[in-house]
Amino acid sequence: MAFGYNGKILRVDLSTRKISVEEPEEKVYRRYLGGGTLSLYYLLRELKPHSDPLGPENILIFCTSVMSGLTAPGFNKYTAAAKSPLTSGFGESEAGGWWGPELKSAGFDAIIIKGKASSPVYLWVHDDQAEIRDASHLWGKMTAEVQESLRKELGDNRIRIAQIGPAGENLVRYACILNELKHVNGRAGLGAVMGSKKLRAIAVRGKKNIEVFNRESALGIVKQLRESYVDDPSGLGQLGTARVAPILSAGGMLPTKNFITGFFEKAEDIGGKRMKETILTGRGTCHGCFIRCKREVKAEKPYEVDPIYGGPEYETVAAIGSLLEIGNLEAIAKGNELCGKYGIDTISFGTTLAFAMESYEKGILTSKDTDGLDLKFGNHEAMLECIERVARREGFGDLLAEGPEMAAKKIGKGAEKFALHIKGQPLPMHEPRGKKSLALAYAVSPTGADHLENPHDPFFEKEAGLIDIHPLGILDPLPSLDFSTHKVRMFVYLQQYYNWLNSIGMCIFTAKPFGPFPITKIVEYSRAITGWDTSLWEMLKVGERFANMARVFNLREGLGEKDDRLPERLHQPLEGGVLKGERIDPEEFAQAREMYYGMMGWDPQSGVPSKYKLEELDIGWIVPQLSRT
Amino acid sequence: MRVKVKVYVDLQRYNPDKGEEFTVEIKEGSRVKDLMQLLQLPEHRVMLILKNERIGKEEDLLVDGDAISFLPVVGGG
Repeated sequence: MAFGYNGKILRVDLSTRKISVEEPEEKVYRRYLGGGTLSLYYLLRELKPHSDPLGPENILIFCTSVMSGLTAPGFNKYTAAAKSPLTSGFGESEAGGWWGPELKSAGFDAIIIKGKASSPVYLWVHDDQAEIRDASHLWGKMTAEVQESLRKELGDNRIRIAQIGPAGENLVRYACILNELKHVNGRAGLGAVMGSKKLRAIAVRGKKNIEVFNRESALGIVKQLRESYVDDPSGLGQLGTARVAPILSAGGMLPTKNFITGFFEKAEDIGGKRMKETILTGRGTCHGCFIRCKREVKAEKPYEVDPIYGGPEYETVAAIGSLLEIGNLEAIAKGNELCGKYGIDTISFGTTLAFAMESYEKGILTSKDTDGLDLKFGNHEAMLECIERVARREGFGDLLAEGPEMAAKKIGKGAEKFALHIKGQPLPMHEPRGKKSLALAYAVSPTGADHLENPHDPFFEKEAGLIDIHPLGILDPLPSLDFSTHKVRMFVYLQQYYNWLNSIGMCIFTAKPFGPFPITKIVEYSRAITGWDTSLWEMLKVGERFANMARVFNLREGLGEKDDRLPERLHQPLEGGVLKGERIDPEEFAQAREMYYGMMGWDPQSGVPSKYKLEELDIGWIVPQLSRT
Repeated sequence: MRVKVKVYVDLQRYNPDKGEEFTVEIKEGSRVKDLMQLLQLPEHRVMLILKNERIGKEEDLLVDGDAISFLPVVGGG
């Protein structure tokens, strides 16, 4: 008997309109758990290398986990995964909210989507059934309108909907997937993959209760956590993720003006505190979570903002705020709303526009190239206009819709050095020059620049800060600016920890060191839910399995050591803020990367996993795929 | 002597009645770590100390009129 999961995977072929159900054996669930790891199990088996990411051959997977949908805080994420149109490598992105838990209540742990519909469709999944339905009437519509139409059409207001917007339809390379209009699979361009399949939405509804091995023990753990979480210790609930913008700026680490500096003089104006004092109308949350970090904001003319789209997170206030030297919070909130309406990743859009603004400042782009738009830093009107043009791929927007790497190639004239991306994935809003493990994280992450590879260095500067991660065997504090072998080891351990959390669909804000869930309690909770006699050792092996499977996926596609690099700007000194002069030394970086490869059991020079490591992780079945690289 | 103090959001919980910016009376010869003790700020919750808008250390001596900021640990997300 399966505890914690359904044991059913839904398969949909949009080309043939065939729907089937697979029932994997328990060992598949135990080895791969869910999220990106279970997605890779299918992608490595079924996706041919060198497939066109926007062609019918790409496979798009929505994957929950053996743990998601339960009543504990944070177990609500699902992963969307496919070959990424931004990186041409492994693409994945997680989203919270209610959609993942609802999919499990509808009877399925994951959906594997192949092929391409001949005309727009949506998928309706409910009570162990699924059907492909016509979506011609929804195509081109804004996301809120589609959500309302589908709920009306299907006659149930509690239907949860994951969907793309017009940007995904138009194959904007950083289009996102949203559920409930505000929980976002933002990164890797998976909205474009969904758009290429002419799949506008997946509506889910179910009434099934997930069977749990030991309900009493599981509820006891949740009760303990609830009691231990008093007074919103980090301010995350009251002030949201955006509270950190002024802190990072004061610390010299707020990405500002396309990463030229780490200090933004208007940082207070765009932070969570200011948001609370001005435009905040409510706090939202995800399934089962008492932290309530999500925002709902409302603004009046000239930047009328509808709270149905939530409110900007930290990443957004930085990406379309400080990074562009924009300090107008209402305009940022409007930008956030527009990205929600059209289905655009705010991070990638911001980094792409910052690239364009710097190119404009340097004279590489002129108003002739930008259809007359004055792209100077700080111009929030131009930022808002660009979102619309990108979504519609109109004129200059068509170029920006390609992302910074491809846009820079098209522009030429040395524009590449202002395009801040890794493997094509635009940089997110954290500054590696102030916390060195992040330089390694950005470079080696299989999905390109990703800020969620590991908890960042400042947590671990003092002995007392290490208590939370003692179960991982990390015992020595290290300064944030340290980039020694010890820092690499710390990163390797923390990365496998986060890979495990991603595999079980757990939100990092609920797990230590951010949130209330201690590492060993997550294991205890896993035992109570699944009934497996499992351990932290077994769970971290899943994390390591993920890292190796994603590595092999990328090697098959031709991504390897040459792509594990940083944009040149990060090797240059920060020009402002208290960390002025800090940079990533190229030699130190090269040594750290070699050490990382070696510690992972990969060839220290080429970064190719050894067959022994793959066999040790019980994924010997992917060894033959290494010969295709 | 008197020093000006700014504590950013997450650290305000240790002195909830004082708010974000305030002035503290502290004896001559005190160091930043004495100020932290006075304010009951746990060292592992402090990411960075700014002394007169430059990076400071716990060992730094304080002088009358200094402006000290305490930044909480933030770590991604």
